[in-house]
Amino acid sequence: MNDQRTWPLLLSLLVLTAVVMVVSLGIGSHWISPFSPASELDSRILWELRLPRVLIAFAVGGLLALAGAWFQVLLGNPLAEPYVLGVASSAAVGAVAGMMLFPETIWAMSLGAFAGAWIGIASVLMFAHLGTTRLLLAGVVLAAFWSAILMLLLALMPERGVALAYAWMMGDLSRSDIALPYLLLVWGGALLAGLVLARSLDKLLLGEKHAAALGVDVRKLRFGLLLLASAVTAIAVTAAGTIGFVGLIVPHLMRLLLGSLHRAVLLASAFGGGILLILADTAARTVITPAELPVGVLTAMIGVPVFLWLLLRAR
Amino acid sequence: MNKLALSLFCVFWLSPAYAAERILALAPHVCESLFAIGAADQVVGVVDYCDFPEEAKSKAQLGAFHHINVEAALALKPTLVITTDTNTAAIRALSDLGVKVALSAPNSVDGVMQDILFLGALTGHTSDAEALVAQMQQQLAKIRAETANLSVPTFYEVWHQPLYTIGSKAFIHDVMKQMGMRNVFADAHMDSLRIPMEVALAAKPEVVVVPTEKRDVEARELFWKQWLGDDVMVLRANPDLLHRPGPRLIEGMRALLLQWQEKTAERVTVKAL
Repeated sequence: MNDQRTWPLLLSLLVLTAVVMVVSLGIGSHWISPFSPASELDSRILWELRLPRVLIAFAVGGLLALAGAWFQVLLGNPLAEPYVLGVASSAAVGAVAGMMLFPETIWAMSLGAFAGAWIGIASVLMFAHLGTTRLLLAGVVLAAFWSAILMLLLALMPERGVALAYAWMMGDLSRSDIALPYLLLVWGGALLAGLVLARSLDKLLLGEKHAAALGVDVRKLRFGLLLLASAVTAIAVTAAGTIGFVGLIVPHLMRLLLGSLHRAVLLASAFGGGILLILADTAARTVITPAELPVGVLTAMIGVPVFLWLLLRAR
Repeated sequence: MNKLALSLFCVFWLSPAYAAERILALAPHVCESLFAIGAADQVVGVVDYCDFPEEAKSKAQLGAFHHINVEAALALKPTLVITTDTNTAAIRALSDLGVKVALSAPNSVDGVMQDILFLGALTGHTSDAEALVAQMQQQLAKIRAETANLSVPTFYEVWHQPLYTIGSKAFIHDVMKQMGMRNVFADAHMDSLRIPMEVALAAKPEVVVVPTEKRDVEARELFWKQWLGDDVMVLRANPDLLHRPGPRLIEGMRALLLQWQEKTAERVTVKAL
C-alpha cells in the first residue's frame, strides 16, 4: 500500500459519500432542497421518507461489501460473495416461508429471513473443512437448492404472494419497520471489527502456513470471520431483501484503487458499498417514474458483467 | 370477445336440442357466475379460491388456476374449460385433447355483464343470465346516478409493503371510475405498479381505498391520515366482492359507496357542529 495515495483516496471517498447522500436526498418525485425544504410536507418527505431510505441503502450496501470482502479472503476466491454462496437465497426462502406460515404477522418475514440466512450459513459451514474450492462449489450447489425450494414455495402460493415475494427477492429499501439506528450501529460495529482483524487478514492472504508462522491462530480467525460475515449478511438480507453483486464489485474496485492491505480496503468498502447502493436505489426509484424498479435488478445489471469479466481474468 | 360471444350465442340459440356441458371453471368469478345463472350442475371441476357459494367447495378441486392438475382435470371428462388465460400449458393440453376452451376475463364493469351473458349462452341459461344482468344493470344505474358528477382523486392500495397500486389497465380502475372515483395513477398504462411513497403523496388523493386482506387496516388508516391529513377518507374494500369480475361486483361497489357516503355525512355533521 502506498500511504501517499491511500489517505487522499479514502478522504475523497468520505466526501463523495456526503455528496451522494445530499444529492440523493434531493432527488425524487420532485426536487427538494435538503437545506431548505419548501413546505411542511416536503420537509416530512425529506426526513421521514427519503432520509431513512438513503441511510438503509448506505448501511446495507456497506454491510454487503464488507461481507463480500471477508468471504473473498476466507475462501481465497475472488468470486465469493453472499449472493453467490447461496446465503442470500436461503434467507429469501426463510422470508417467504415466514410470510406463508404467518401471513397476518408483520414480523414473520423478517424473522424468517434471519433464520433462513443462518440455516444457509450452517449448511455452507458443513463443507468448510473440505477446502476453499469445494466450499465454493458447495455454495453454488446450495444456492441452486435454495432456489428450488423457493420455487416450490412460490408454486404453492396464490398469485398475489408470488408477485410480492418476487418484489422482496429483488430487494426492497422502502421498509419502514426497520430499526434504523441499530442498522447503522451494526454497520459501525462491522467496520470496527473489520479494522481490528485487518492485520490478520493481510497475513492470511499470504497463505495459511505463513499466517501461522506470523502468529495468527488460523482456525480461530477463519471461524470468527465466517461467523462475522454471515451475521452481517443475515442482517443485510433481513433489512432489505436479496441484493446481489454489491459484495462482489465494491471490494474488487477498492483493491484496484488501493492495493490489497485490508485496513484500507475494508474502510473503503464500507463506504463504497454504501455509495453504490444509494446510487442504485436513487436510479431504481426515479428512472421509470411513477413506478419504481426493484433495486436488485440494477445491481445485477452492473454486477453480472463485472463478475464475468473477473471470471475471464482469473483464468 | 364480443363477436365470439355473439356467434356462440347464435349457435346455441339456433340449435334445437341443447346438450349440457361438463365444465371446468378455472376462476372464482367464473364459478360464481355459473352458480348465479343456475348452471351449477354443469360445473365438474374448480380451482383454489372458488369458495362462493358454499356448494362450489364441494366440486372437484384442481389446484391453482395457473397450474391445474391436467390428469385430474381429464378424469372429470370435461367438455368445456372456462379460463382467464388461454395461453397456459394445461389449457393447450386440454384443447389438444378436444376440450372446448372459452375465455372469461372481463376487464371492465360492462365487460362483467357481457361475460355473464356469454356464460349464459354457453350453458343454455340465456334467460337466467339476462335476468341477472338486468338486475345488476339496474343497481349499477343507481350507483352511476348517485355519483354522476363526481371525479374524486382516489388511491387504491393494492399492497403496502412495498407499496403497490393500480394503473389504467386494471379491472379496479374501471370499477372506481364507474362510482365517481378517479384513479390518481390513470396515466400509468399497466395493470399494477410498485411506487415510492412520496409519489403517492404527490398525486394528492382525497380518497384511499384499502382492501381488507392480510394487513392491519386500522394501522393503514392511521398511516394515511398522518401523511395526507385528517381530510383524507380511508375506505375499506371487500376484495372477494370488488376484485372478482363476477355477479357480486355491484354488491361490492354498493358497499364501498355506502361507506363513502356515510363518512361524508359524518364529516358534514362534524363540520356543522
